Amino acid sequence: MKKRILSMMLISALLVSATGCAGKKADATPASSEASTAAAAPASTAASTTGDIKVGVILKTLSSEYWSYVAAGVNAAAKDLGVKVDLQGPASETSYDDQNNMIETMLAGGIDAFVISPLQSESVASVIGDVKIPIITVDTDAEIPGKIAFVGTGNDKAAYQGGLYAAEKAGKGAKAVIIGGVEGNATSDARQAGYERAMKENGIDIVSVQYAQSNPDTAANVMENMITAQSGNIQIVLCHNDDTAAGAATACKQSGLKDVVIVGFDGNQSGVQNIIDGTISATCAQSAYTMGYKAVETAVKAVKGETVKSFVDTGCEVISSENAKDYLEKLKGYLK
Amino acid sequence: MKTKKMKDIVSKAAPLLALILLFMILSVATDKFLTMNNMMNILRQTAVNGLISAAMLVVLITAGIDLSVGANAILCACVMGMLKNSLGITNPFILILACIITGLCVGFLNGLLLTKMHLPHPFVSTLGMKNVLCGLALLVVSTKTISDFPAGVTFLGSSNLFKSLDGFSGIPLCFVVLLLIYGVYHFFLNKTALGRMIYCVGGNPEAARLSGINSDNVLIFVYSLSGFMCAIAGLVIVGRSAVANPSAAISPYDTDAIAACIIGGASFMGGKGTIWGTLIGALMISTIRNGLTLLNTSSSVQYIVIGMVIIAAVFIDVTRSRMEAKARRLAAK
Repeated sequence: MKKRILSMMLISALLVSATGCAGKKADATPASSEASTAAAAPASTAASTTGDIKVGVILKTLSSEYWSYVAAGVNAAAKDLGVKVDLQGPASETSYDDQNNMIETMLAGGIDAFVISPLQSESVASVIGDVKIPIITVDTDAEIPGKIAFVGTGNDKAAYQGGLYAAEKAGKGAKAVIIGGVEGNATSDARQAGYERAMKENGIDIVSVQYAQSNPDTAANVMENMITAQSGNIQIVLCHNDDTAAGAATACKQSGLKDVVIVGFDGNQSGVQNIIDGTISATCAQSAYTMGYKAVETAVKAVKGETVKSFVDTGCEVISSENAKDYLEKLKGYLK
Repeated sequence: MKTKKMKDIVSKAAPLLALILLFMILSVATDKFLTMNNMMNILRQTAVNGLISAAMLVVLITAGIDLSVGANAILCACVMGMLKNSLGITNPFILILACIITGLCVGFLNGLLLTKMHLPHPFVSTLGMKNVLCGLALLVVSTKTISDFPAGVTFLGSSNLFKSLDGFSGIPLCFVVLLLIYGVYHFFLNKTALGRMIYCVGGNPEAARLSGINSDNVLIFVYSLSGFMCAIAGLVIVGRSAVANPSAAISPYDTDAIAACIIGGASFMGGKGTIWGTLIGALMISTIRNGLTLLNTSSSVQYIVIGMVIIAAVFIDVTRSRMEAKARRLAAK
């Protein structure tokens, strides 16, 4: 009896987690009939109407807030354009092998266009090989044979703008520290490069760079140690994401370090809320939702044989106390 | 008899000597290290790992392992986040209660999986549990990081005692609580019947069974206790970082905790390990991290150093028990 109840509990727990995962995938299949009239010229594929176009999308992960905005954009575009989207993503942004496996499976399943946000550019390129369908990179670019467009801003550029904001706020002669995400990860490296360039151009010394594995708790530890190491002489803290910035901010507050410009990255709801509360100064936000939307849009255009731009710039902005409230409303709207 | 006692003390004090040596090296290497505030920083940074290590220790004593500790702590934090954000509950008592109940339930379930469902080794069941919890943590807060916790929840991780205006950062409350918990642990493991039973079950399960110990119940208790400690750790994490971040569930909290226990003299074979040894192990890890950051060492080097310390600690431990076994064999002849 005991065992039976137990196994039932377990099974229900499994079911809950399974439906949870399935819910995330959310392949939107709203075959809107008005949109399908526009598809008169099918290109190289078998898709005769727009409703039959199937776009495969693999993101870096689906289990983070940033990527849920991209996913929301992807689903919205699928609905608006009346195409089928198969949306997937590995469990975390370091599941390189999982992503490669997903790509293989998806390409074998017969899709008309493929949107990919590569975790590891080189290995993704070799997994994709030379397939005959149009390939679009989103968020992170990669040299992939058959790639027709890149939709995004580049982490580098967004970080550069965030760095400029911090440099302007703190002024000349300031000392900066950087709390990174994961050392050797392509995204972290790009953000790092952007920050470094902004600091160099403004003649600001980067006195220390440490990595906190994107964990806010670790970031608090790292920040405390940096404050000690620099005897509190830090004016700028540049972080590779918002959560790390929140951890760094608590450490600064506890150590009584004031007038320090803390810049995060991503522009997630909690990060923007922290800006409104005054805990952190600013964050570098890429338009995740727009990226997802434009990527699918570009893919559909390419399948129909229309010409597409090879670089679709989705822009980025620095969110500070001036525009944080509006931005938060916008974010909440995306996930409705 | 006397020499045996001396040996015992020396073998117990070995990790402490290593820690003192480490302190001396780092004090010479950088003048920033041996300051009052930095010492407080080390204590502050030990708290989370210390609590999770306490969770790991009881399990290791029973010759088991709990890989779900970190994910459990993060899930507890995320459950608080969910209650706050989705249901609008800001009463710290309810939040903390929910946090602790979550941790206990997960631990209890781990115990049931091992004993009642006869899963072969807790490595398997808790590894599975770790993945389930990582997913659940993301699920309950819909992958969002939750901030803005009420002060009643964050006080444990963020308050400092005797903080003064002339620069002293204060004694971190979380470390004081950690010490209190360790005191209770020490008493529990050494002076109570249940505590001794835990060592018995770990040292020789068959002998424990024959002497009338219901090892299933002891194990379920041990895993529940482990879950409880994780919940406290989750509470401190929220206080330390001011956010509950579901993607942190995958962070290597479990390996850090195992390292602390092993450095402190626990063994994968079970039946061994003390709470004070674990404290030294946890202090050692945070001291190394602290020192290396003060010296501005790159992250890659930090990984290598910590890895080498773990290997060295286990090597010393294994060599020590081999010598003891040999001495015993010789004495028996």
